[in-house]
Amino acid sequence: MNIKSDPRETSPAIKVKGMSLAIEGRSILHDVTFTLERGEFLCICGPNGAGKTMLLKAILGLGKPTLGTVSLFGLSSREGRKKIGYVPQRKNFDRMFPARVVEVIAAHVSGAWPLMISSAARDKAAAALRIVGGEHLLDKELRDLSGGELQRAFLARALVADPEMLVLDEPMAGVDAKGIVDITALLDNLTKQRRMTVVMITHSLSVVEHCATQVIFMEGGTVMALGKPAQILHDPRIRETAFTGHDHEHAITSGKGEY
Amino acid sequence: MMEFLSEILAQDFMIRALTGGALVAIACAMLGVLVFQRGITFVGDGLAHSMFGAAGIMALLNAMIGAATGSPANSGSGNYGAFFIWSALPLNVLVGFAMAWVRRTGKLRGDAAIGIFFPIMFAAGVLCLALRRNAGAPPLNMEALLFGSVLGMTPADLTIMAGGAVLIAVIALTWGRRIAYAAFDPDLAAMSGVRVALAEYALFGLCAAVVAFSMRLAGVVLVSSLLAIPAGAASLWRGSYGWQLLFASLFAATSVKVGLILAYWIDVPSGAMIVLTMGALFFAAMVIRAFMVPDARR
Repeated sequence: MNIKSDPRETSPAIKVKGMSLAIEGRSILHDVTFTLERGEFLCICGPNGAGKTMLLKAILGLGKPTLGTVSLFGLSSREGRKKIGYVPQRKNFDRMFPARVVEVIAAHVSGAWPLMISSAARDKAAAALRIVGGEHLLDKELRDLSGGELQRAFLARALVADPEMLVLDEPMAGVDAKGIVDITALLDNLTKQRRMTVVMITHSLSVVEHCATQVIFMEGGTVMALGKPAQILHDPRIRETAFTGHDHEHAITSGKGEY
Repeated sequence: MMEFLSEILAQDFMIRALTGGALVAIACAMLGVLVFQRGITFVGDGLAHSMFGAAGIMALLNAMIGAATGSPANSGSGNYGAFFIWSALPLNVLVGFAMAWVRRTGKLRGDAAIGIFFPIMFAAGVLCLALRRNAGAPPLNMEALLFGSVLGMTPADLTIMAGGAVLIAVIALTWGRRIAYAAFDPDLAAMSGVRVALAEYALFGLCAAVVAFSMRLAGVVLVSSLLAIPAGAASLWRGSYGWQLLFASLFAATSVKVGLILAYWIDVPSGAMIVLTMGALFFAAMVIRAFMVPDARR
């Protein structure tokens, strides 16, 4: 018997072809083309204003490309993003909204803001928080959390639905050195143990060196270089413009994190 | 006191007013919490004044149809203009959608789109009512339209008002949770499967409908208080979204009942008394909060 596999099971995690995006006449992304296979860890690097965040948003269907196509796991952005856990760079949520961490996580599972939290939803949220070392945050209000605690809460939210891909926009921003080591180890583990695809915007050279299997270097709204970390990091201009000397670099490279 | 309450409960019109008023106030309070979280508290005022415009347009159309067919135009005197309020409801919902459309496509922040429609629709109402008067049609009962007339509610009015209020409350408790998620963070809500644009249109449409259903209770001038004050009072306290819905609903229902009874007792307009009761309870809540929450007075 000849069993044909569903092409969506084998199609790449991300396929972007000739994508351009303009906002109010201003070009933000120009002719971006790349393919990312499943299980890869892609780091997107580049100077500020290079269009990295807009690229992620366009891939996720949160920004509408003016030209070109995007597919996620062989599906449209709208359909494919159901398989994705997303951690945004800036936490743009309404600070006055009465939101507890458990509610934010439960809302992602149900697709609606909860009026009450069932014990099953609570257990699920607690399990997701345990993965990121944030169990103590379960009943805290979002407006009371520090930057690092917020990142853990949003990371737990991204993981709770058991996604096939994690998309993270500068997840280390506002996180202390220990948190960065923990998050980096966690992401490394997710790709190696669970074969999860990870896409991450970062300005950290250490993170790229330790985690990435693919690197995109962006500048002026377009992909300037794409390849294995060794190829991309070989270029001194990229090393100079894409990465900043964060104080957490030392924490990752000093052996506090186990990879 | 018991004798006074028994007297009130013996009046059919008071029973209708207390029942319909409380149901509409609860529906308004629930949407009010969503509106408050979305940061568009002005939407109640905008859609109430748009309702004046919609009622004016329908009144002019009624006079024109009357002139064309030879039948007398509705003066609204017998039922305090209820005909115009109900007939203007669909038009007001369309205006609500238009506000959402201008807000989204024009990328206008906060209440800007509402501020654009507010005077346009009010001016349209004034113009249509003047044209109707020039055509020789009988004048409308403007006081009822502007300030409400819940005590004059007929059993048919109660059925429509209560039915609409219950429907809107059920939507707020079910589908409204998606609107709440979009109010929290549109990008995250979209990633969780919420259709954010649809949620925005739905919020404006529901607000337009609840304003129309509430015209009997508070009229054009006072109806926005039903959306704003209970939600504002609920936001004074730390609690979940569900808790805020419950608090705002109880606050609104209590205010309407106390306001109506006071209005009957002192013999003053009910709409004004309801709003003043809400205001008094809001400031009472602020004072209680100042003593109960240590950092609230800073």
